[in-house]
Amino acid sequence: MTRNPKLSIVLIVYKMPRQALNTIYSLSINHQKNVRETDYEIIVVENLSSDNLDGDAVCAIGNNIRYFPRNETSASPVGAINFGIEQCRAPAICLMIDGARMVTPRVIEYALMARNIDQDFLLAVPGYNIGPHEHQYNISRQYDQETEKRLLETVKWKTNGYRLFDICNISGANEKGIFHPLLECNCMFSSAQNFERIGGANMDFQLPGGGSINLHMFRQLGMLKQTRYYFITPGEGSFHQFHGGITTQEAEDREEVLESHRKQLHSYWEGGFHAMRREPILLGAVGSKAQSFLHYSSKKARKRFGWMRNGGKHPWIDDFNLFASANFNT
Amino acid sequence: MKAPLKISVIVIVYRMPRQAINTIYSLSALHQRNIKEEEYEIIVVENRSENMIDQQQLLALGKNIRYFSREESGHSPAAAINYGFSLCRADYIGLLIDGARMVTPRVLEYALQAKSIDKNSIFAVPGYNLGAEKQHIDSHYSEEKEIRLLSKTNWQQNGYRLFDIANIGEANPRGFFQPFMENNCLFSSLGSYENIGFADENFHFLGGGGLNLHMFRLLGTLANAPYLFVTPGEGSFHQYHGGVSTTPRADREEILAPPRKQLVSYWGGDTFKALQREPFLLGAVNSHAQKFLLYSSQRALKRFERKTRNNEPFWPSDFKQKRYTEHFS
Repeated sequence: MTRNPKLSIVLIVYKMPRQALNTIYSLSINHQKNVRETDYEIIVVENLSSDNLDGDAVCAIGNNIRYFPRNETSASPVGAINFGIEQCRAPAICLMIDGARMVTPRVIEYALMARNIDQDFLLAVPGYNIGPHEHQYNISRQYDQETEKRLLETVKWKTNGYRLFDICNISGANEKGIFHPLLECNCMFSSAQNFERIGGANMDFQLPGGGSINLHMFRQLGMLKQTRYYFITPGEGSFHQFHGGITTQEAEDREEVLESHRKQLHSYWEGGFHAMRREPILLGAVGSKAQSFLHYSSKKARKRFGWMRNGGKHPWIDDFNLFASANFNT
Repeated sequence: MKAPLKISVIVIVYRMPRQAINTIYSLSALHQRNIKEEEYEIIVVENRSENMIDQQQLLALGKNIRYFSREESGHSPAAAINYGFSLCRADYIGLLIDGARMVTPRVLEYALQAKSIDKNSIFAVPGYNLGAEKQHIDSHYSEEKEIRLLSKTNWQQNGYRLFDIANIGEANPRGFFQPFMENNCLFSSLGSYENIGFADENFHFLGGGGLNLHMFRLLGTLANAPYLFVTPGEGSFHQYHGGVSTTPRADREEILAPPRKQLVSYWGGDTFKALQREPFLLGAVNSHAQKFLLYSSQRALKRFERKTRNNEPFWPSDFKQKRYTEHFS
């Protein structure tokens, strides 16, 4: 048992035992580098369904894992998120709203570093999808769990987690790379106090899968005055495994579902919702596997900066609005 | 009670008053962002010559600037560097061995961030040259040209514009994902400098010869320096000043040969090898610096490809460290 962890990770699971076990392994000390098992704890909160994790198998992965199965009548994970946050014992929290996202080996090391720089940090690990396409095209492009299992076996990711970069595509949430505003983040870190400041997960987000709760929370955390620094890991990633999620599988009514999410989200933000436009501070090494994505991001960044300059627009207007007097960037 | 200083920056100056004033301005709180004047000090050590800094002009740039002029009978800045170390009041020190290198506005902010992660590690700001081409190659480049170039960019208002008028430095011509040969704007803890014996005064050649290459590699080889922090969006920019290795002259190779030999004699082998450690990126990359990130990334892809093909480790100098680094794909 980890007594005084520096970081608590809240991982929400629902009907995805195979994927969640991979995710937990990727977060565990078997896979994470340059940290100790006692530095952090992994809080797995599972809303019970017809297809659950084996609690013993989860806890066997490491000594810093706590498993909480719970009954939930709602189709939203917001209750589970707040339950998870309540269990956290560390001053910093990582929220992974979708248990199907595996991470690379230095995510936790870098999060602890970001916290050393400023305790009210926000750190985002960019998202990718396992496989050649976004998962909402699974049927038309014949991608299924079996294909994914084979893919994961081929790269032997447990020996080197960075190989996940070899079998992935960039997520739609940040399809233009890390120098464009990130629409959402499924592996975000901040202080426990910041999570408290935003009131945890808003219980109004009761749509299946939580609707756009993660977009909402990410921007809320980033728009806090206390969040002076917003870090991004250019060389680390969180990788979505296929599991039939609400927005990550092919369905005829997908657009309708998304529209209901959007509608709710827009209603919470004056002038409608848009991605948070804050300048990211890069943090961490970029290895051989992630380099092509940095290259891609840099190409896209040059275009974006070009448009913004021609249009006389500030590329990171939210920084300007939040910290105009501090003159954070150009 | 006053809070202790967080950083001391040593700037070594010799016969470059115009350039040094620009450098000190770039380091001052007039130009550095997100750091307060009282959080750091700038220690300017000038070896006397017939062409010296105007002290009054210098001290008007900030209350945290301390100026020291000294007699030096030799040709090397090594003793001036050590004198600078003896004056530092902070436990984290930036060393600019060549006072002609201006820096971008968030160098000190990020240095403090690196310090809060691990103060004994090196924090290195990549080097660039002002002008379209490398200064020792371009025979048409002159101080006059540079003055015009600088005044056009209005760099005092936005130091990142220096990227618009610069080329990549010869110390890291393939970008910052390749091993660094040297660094002219580096930070580490007082303890780390002490561990390497500060500046070795045996480096008596003009300009110190290979002293900064030597110090950079020594610092990077320390067992208790787990990271090599590199700023992808900040730079140090060399101004033309007739420096030993940065001026086009017929006898350049002749002059550079003995210092090279000295350096090799310290490290063994046939040639001096750059420190091959995995760079740890720290900092934002804005519109001005982005083209150099793109270039560095392109070169990195090639290097990783070549190393993988030849089954060579990416960062052999990291083997000494206990922490994980990606060595093979």
